[in-house]
Amino acid sequence: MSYKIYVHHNYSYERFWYFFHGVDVDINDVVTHTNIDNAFNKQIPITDKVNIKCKYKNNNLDITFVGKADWHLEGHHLLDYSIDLYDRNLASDRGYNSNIRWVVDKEYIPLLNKFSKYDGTKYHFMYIDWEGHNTWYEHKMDTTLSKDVNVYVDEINDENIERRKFVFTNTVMSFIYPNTLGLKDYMHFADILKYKNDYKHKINYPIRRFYRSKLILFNKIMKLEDRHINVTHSSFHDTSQYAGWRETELRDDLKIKIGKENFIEKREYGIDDWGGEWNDNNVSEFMWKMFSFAEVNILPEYNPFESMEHGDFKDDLKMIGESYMTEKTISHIFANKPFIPISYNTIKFYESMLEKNNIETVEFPFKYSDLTKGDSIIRLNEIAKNEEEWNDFVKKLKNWNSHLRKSILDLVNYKNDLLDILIKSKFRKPKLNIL
Amino acid sequence: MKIYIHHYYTYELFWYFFHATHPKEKIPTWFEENRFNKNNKVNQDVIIDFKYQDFGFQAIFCNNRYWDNSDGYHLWDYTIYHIENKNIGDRGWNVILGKDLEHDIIPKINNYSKKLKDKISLFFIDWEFGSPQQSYVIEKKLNKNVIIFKDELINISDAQKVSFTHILWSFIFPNTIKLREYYFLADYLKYKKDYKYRINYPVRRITTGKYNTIKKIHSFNNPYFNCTVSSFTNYYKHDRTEDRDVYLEDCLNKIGIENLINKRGYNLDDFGGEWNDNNMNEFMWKLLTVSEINLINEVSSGHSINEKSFSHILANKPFIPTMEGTFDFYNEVFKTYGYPQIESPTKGLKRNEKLNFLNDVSSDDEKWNEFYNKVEKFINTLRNQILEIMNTRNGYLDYLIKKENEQKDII
Repeated sequence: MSYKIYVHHNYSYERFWYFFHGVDVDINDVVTHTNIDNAFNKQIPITDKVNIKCKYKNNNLDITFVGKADWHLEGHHLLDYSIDLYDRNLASDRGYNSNIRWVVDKEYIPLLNKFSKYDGTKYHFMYIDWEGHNTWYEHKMDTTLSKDVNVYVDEINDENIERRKFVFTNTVMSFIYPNTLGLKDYMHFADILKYKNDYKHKINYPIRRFYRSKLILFNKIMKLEDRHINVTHSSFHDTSQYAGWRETELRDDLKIKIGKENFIEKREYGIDDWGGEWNDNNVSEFMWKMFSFAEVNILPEYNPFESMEHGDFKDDLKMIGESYMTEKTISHIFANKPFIPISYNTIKFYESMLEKNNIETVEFPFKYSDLTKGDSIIRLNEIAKNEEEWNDFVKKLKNWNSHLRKSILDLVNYKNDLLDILIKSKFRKPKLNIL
Repeated sequence: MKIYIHHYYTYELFWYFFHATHPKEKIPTWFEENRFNKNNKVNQDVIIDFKYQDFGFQAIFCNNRYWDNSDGYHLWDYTIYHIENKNIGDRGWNVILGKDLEHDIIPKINNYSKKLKDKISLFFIDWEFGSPQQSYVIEKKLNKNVIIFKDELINISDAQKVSFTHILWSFIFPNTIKLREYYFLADYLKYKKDYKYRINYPVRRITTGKYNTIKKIHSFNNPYFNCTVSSFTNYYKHDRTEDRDVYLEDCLNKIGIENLINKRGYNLDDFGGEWNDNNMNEFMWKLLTVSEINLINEVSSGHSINEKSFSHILANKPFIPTMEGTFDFYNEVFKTYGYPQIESPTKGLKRNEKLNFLNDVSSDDEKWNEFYNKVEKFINTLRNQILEIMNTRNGYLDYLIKKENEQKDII
């Protein structure tokens, strides 16, 4: 089969891989520049149409990056919410930005409804924002978006909705390309980090922004007898930048409890100044500073079940997205850094992704439900106390992480969840599915 | 003392211009414009009071405003201007640089200088050694009252200065080619001990000189002395060599396919185009881990440096430059600021002598250990002294203080 695919964004080699990883392509066709201007200056957007032909699972793909043109042409059409925000300089990375979500309601949905009416087209809208809200219901896509449009998200719930799909490989790739946060560097960092062998602590629990579960776990850790779990607090130096309020009192209390040596100052002098609370600054600071404290990090990864119990939408559960992937676990997986997420659901999620793709899993060496509940943190502390038990535990943890890392990095080189759906999807009036 | 900086404010630019100072308050990072989107420019006056060497200063970031104000000094950086306007992606060489000097930039600056006289400083730091055409235009056309700060220690006329500290800081902030990451990498790279080779000569763009060096190293047949060639995705883009195909093919025959570093791998292994930041990123992750010491091809007769040596210094990675001029430049920095001169372990050796010497020491365990320790210690000293100078001295402010003091003396 052959497919024509139009991507409604400016071209870049990074975007090609984000959308079309897993394809068979001649690397020379994945151009990096199209003229003398953008050859010498990567700040100049590539607005030329770029056509790349490749294969995926024996299907011929004829892909053209067309920008804001050719909406009417017969074939598949891709539009990505976050990429479009970059193109319009409305955002600097893919993460959450509450100020501009109105664009979805006011612009994308009307636009998709309009263009998806063209005969012989199929529109695919990607909404991957690394957040745990259920975009489908938040933007009322069930009622306002044309049934001819497929939506791709990074939340796994509502699997029964046929035109709303979770795409694992594209979500993974969204953390790498475009490399707005520098997360690709974590992948390369793994080759260097593995040599470090003089960690001060066995386990560290790094906290930046405060919220409920983090503070519960913090209090539990502080109460441990013969504590072998360290806690660091990175200065979220200016909470008002993103939240409009300050957490001064909580922070002062925490700083006293963890000690000066565990307070990570973001705004240091000159070359050590990590700047503002933008996502890429934080992710870069985390890589260079927070991987050197302990052999294992405890990660306060987002857990939808906490939102269901305590979040703003606990009375309207359909608004909560079941999402497990943020830059926290992804960065650790890429860097091959052993980690234990607060909720075991995170482990289950990654294992389920391997199982879904027929990849064997390795047993996670610690059984628990949620580190904020029961005695799991006490058990973890006990393991850290015993040298022999600890060494065996870390070995197994590293093995689990390495296996997961390798599996995911291999997977995105041969599989593309978006394309798997796209090649099966039907046109509004399927006249020319075959070229 | 007031200083008007005719650029959009960023915290990175503050450190670039005013490193080694003590701001009265923590310098700001965000304003409403860039609060949620760091790519947005801050186009408002940002005023920062700071102290340097017991002098009080006030930095006023004001973009293109207040060129009429004669109550302070005025600062403008040619490359930053082009970066702000997205005409270039980083500070290094670019085909457009210099072309606007004669008919656009210089007339404007000359016009401002009619009123401001010698209160304008123009930074011209492009990490390249000279351009006769640019130098000629600046020399002939720019009002002699305007002070140019440049990054090469040659043909420095009366109205020209060198601020070593700004040359060094230009590699860090704005962090356009991610050299700042090399500084942090040092904390991790030190643990790596299982290098495949003792010395590696990493080549990207093949020139006649590099080709001859590869041939010479290959002739040693020394398993500890290696060469790598990084695939310059588009060999023809920057090429100035007639025999490029022959060179490349012959180099690859000599070094073997395992020493060809492919930039364009599949998906996750794709380092993209030949932009400086992509190249430096690829170099950091791939080329610092091949050998214990890198032999780097930095062309310097002591008048300039570039990102090659400075990246290694930041990463605390032992290296030997093909030309000792690199270390002469750093010694000039040390001389200026009263630091001890450093003596390179390969001092006095010309290119071929150096290659022979490196072949000799790398072939013998005992000689190698002694030599490696010397180089490691040497680079460590170099790094410590450079970082200390960067954090304690500011060439531009030293110039202003000296100037003010001279004026007071006259009065």
